[in-house]
Amino acid sequence: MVKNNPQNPVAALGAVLGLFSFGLPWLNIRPNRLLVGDFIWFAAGNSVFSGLALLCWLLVLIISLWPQKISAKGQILAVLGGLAALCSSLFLRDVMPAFDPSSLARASLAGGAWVFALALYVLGVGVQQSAKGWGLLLAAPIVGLGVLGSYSQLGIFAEFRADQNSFFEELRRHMVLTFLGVLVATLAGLPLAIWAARVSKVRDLVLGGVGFLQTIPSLALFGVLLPILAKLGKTVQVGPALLLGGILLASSLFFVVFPRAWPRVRAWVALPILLSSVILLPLASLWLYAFLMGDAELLSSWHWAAFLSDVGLRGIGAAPALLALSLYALLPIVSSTVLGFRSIPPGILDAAEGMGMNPLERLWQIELPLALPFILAGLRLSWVLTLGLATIAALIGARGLGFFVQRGVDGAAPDLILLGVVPVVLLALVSDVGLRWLEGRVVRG
Amino acid sequence: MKSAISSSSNTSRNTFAKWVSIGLICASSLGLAAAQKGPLTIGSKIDTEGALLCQMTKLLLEGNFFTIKDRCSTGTTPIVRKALLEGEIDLYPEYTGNVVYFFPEAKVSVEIAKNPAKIYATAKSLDTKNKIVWLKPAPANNTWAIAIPIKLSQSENLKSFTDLGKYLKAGKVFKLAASQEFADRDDALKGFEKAYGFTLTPEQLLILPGGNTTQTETAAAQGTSGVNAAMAYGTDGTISALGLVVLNDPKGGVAVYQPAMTVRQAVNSKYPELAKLINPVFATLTKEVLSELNGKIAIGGENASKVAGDYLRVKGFLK
Repeated sequence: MVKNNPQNPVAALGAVLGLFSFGLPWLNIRPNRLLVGDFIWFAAGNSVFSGLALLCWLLVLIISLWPQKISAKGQILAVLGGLAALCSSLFLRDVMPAFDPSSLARASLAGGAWVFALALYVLGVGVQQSAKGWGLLLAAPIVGLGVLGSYSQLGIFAEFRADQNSFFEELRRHMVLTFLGVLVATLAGLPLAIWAARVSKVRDLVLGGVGFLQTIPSLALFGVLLPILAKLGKTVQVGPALLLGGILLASSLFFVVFPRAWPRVRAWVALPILLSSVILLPLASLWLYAFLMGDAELLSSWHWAAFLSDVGLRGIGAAPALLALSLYALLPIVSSTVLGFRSIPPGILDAAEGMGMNPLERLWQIELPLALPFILAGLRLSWVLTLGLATIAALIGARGLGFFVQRGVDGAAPDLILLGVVPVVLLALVSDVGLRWLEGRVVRG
Repeated sequence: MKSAISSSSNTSRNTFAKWVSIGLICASSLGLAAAQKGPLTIGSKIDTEGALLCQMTKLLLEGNFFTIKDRCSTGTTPIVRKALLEGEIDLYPEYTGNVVYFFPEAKVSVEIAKNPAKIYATAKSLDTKNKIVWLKPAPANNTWAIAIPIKLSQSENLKSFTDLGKYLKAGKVFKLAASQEFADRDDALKGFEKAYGFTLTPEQLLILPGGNTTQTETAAAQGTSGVNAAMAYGTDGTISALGLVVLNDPKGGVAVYQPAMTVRQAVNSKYPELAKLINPVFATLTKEVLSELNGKIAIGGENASKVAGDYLRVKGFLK
């Protein structure tokens, strides 16, 4: 990737993977969703397609490692990769069994096809800077044929057809769980990180604490949370909880707005914010969960006198899942925000103070803008991590896409596992690209 | 209502339409009044048949003006049973033979456990002190079993547990995929071992987490990790589709497990129609019927709710 080096080792790695995929089976024709049936290799189908794809990958390998400069090299590589992708999708379309909804037989993609997809991805990463928009060619044929319905006999689509309604519901739930987990982690993590960036004793404690949270296995965490949340939900009412949280929040806001009222506690303002967020954030996220899931019954049970269990704070279900996800999402946000604040040269802060800025102005006008790239990178990392991690919600009865994974493991049905995993992977890839783009715009603008 | 307003020219038709709409309003308000029944919370074990019976009962009751909270696939046997005893759920399908395991202090004898009528009566009477009612069981025995590949059965002439005992004595290759519960309980593997005089070494057991027989049977069918036998249930629908066969149990080594709905007494007395609704449906669930329906879920990959609903409609329990 060095600018002056005309060779492209990443694209070459993609080519090696692409060639390697010819040595593995591509398709598995199963007699039913449980059994492993016969395997089909790439070479077994129409030899024109496999020969052409082989040729494309060889050319990609040669061109990417060519020691002299080639004009429009990225575009050439992208076109060759796209051609290989087209050949492979046409091959798959040819060997795919005809769609028959009454048949129990399924086709599943096997190792070769997955390695081929990985090869395309690696090639895409390798040429993304030099090929510009041409890189999209790599995905086009697969997406195109998929949309045309050539693959409807694939097991993953058969599983999708059986669970169509619940699939979209669980997809939505997965996104909602991820969103709320990251939201809570952001709202709790940012003040925590700012506090930690200022006070070195707090910094050790906070960074150590959020790091420790990552080491707790999710199952153990759920085991600990279950009795605590069940007890809390049955004993505490909504009204008193909101009142306590409100008082704490108001008192901390007082110190933020009047920082000179009691100068010695200034740095400790974060403590009541922290305490109020421990109470208010989970409640807010439960309400948002019911709202975003369109659960009218749960929404209507919000009353002052209702117990927290009535509004969803129970030992099993969304509450422990949301709590666990937001705890796990803290680390990337907190550590990168602390890093961002610590990387501001002290001279700039001195200058700001010399200009007569109060701490609040300094935070808004100097520190936050300078630390923004770090904070955004932390948010993106946290979002992508939580998307994958949200599959554990199914372990505590909160469903989401992990529900399909769990059912697939229970029922020994690999295609059902894929129905849960593939959307998660696609979502993570797409949102990573999207958030990077957004970051670039925000930071530059 | 619309027709009553629009067809004003013909008086007789008009009055007729009026009466029809009044009748409809009465019927729907009756329906609404009836819809107040419940809510009842239904649960089940985490396996295929648990999900099937749970959905079936849920749809049946919903079709008869009950509001149902769906907690199907609640958890393993101890968890779902505890949920019922503590009133977290109101009803769930259990198996008669499990009372041996629920009431170890009652020391239910093997003779009783093997007799469908006697074990049901025992379950019913033992659970009265927990204020749990057992509705009538289905005529299907979903007992523990061991399934082996048909090929192995033919090549080694393994038809029954007696044959298995001889096969093991000869020191031939055997590896059983099973759940921890199957290996631990006195009325499962240990029951077979005792009745047929063999003992499996720890190396001959592959313990899988969870108790789903689809996992164990798939392992045996594909020879995963050298497995050539699987824990199975009597009403599994996967056995023949996976090319497996169940070993005969001529001595009746283990208890009878008939599925029956267990209901909290408070709920059952409040809604005596529960038994009248559920019993006729369970009466149609023979071993063959359950195997077929379970197979649709496990092999066909169909939704448990869809399979249950289709069955209820075909049999005329739902419109």
